[in-house]
Amino acid sequence: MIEFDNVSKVYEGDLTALRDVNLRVGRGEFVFLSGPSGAGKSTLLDLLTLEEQPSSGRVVVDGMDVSRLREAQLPALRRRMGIIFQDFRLLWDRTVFENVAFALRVLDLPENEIRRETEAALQRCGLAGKESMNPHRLSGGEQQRVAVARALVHDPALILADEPTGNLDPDTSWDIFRLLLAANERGTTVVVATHNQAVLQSSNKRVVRLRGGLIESDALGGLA
Amino acid sequence: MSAPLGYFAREAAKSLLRAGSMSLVAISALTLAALAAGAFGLAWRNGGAWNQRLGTRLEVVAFLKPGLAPIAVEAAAGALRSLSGVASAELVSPEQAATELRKDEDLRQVFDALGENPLPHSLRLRLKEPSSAALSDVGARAAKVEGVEAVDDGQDASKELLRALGVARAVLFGLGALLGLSALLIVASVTRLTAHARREELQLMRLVGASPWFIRTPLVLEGALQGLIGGALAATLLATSWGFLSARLRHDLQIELTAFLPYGPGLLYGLWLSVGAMGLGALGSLLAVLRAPRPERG
Repeated sequence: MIEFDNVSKVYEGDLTALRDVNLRVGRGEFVFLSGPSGAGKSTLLDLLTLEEQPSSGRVVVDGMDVSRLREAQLPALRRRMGIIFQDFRLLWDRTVFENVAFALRVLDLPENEIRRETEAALQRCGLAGKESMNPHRLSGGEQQRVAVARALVHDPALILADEPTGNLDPDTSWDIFRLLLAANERGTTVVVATHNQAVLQSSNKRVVRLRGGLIESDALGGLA
Repeated sequence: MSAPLGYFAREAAKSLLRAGSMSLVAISALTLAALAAGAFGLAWRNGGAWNQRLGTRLEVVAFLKPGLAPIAVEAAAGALRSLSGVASAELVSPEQAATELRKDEDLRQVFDALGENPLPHSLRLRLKEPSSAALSDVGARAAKVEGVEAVDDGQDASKELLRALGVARAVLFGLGALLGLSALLIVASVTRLTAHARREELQLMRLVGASPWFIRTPLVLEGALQGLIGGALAATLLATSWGFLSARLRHDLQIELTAFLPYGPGLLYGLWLSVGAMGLGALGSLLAVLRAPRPERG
């Protein structure tokens, strides 16, 4: 599903975020990206979300070499992904339903299908009955669940989450991880960047630890 | 694309309301531009009507050489009729000309004193598209026709009036274009500000796989909607002002406005104005979204 071949990323001002990274993530895998701030986790995710291009090396997502993609091809690849952010990135002037349906609008689906899929995603994320609420009226955990529902609603092949529990308490964090694990059990590849040591220690999932732009370790949770 | 079209329209309308004061600025600019364009259009059309009205009274008169044989008169008349830009040519015999001139008391006395008719054959040339330049042009070419002795191309007050009308219309056109351009730039700026204010939403749209046109279309529709509102407001203002002026003139001076300004802002005119402003609004937004930088990284 994901291949990084000797990937480096250098930002303006000679700031090296990734150095010669090699990484393989298979279809249906669940991978945590860990490491201190500035280790390169977000840059790695930015390369996967196609927000950034590698300075050197090759990044392949779902069989496509992203550096060879034309601008017009990016939307099609992004529609196969679901992206979750630490700060939720909700549309605060829309209802919970509209926030989730938003990801389906771009797919040009009929309205009844949008309604059906959105309601199903909200149900899976424990938000049934909150469709018409404004996100401002929800708790932090519920707001992040809206973001997760938005990432899951179009049944993506790949979910990318950047510190999805960074702003949440431990109990709520577990709720979010359980949703991601459930998506993974349905066959979705999941890559999560996190600092959450409790989750990393108790998880039996693969943990890729980054430091200074290099892969420091790559092992199962609790062992890394 | 039927579902997104409805979605785009709803999003454009919602965004128009959300943008609040920025929308008001854009709509005001478009209303002013449409108002100016509407007034300009009326002035242009009525100027054209005046031009036409004056033009039908303007003519180039070609005086033939005295004593020309009838066959030479016919030849000269034929050559003058075939000049490009000439709509019709009326041959006036010396007798007809004298009869017309004798209607004036002073000239009648002159004719009586002369005893004989000194007038030559002449041709009154009416132009297809009367203008100051066309009068001079046809006059110059008529003077070169075999058998023509002199030409009067209407160097009088009417011709000056025609020239003044032309200048006034050119100035109006310039002003209209300037106002249109200003409105276009204002709409483009407002759209860019709107896009900047909504950059997180636009970035989110990109990240969920929206194509550039999916992102841009609601913004362009929003500009079109602003234009439509501005155009409709301008059309209403124009029609109301016209009606008020018309009523005052009729009541106070017993003058019908349409007697000297035959074209008023009717329903069709208002529709065209609204559609034009809508196009201007859409164009301004389109320019803004095409030139807008990519949203910042998250």
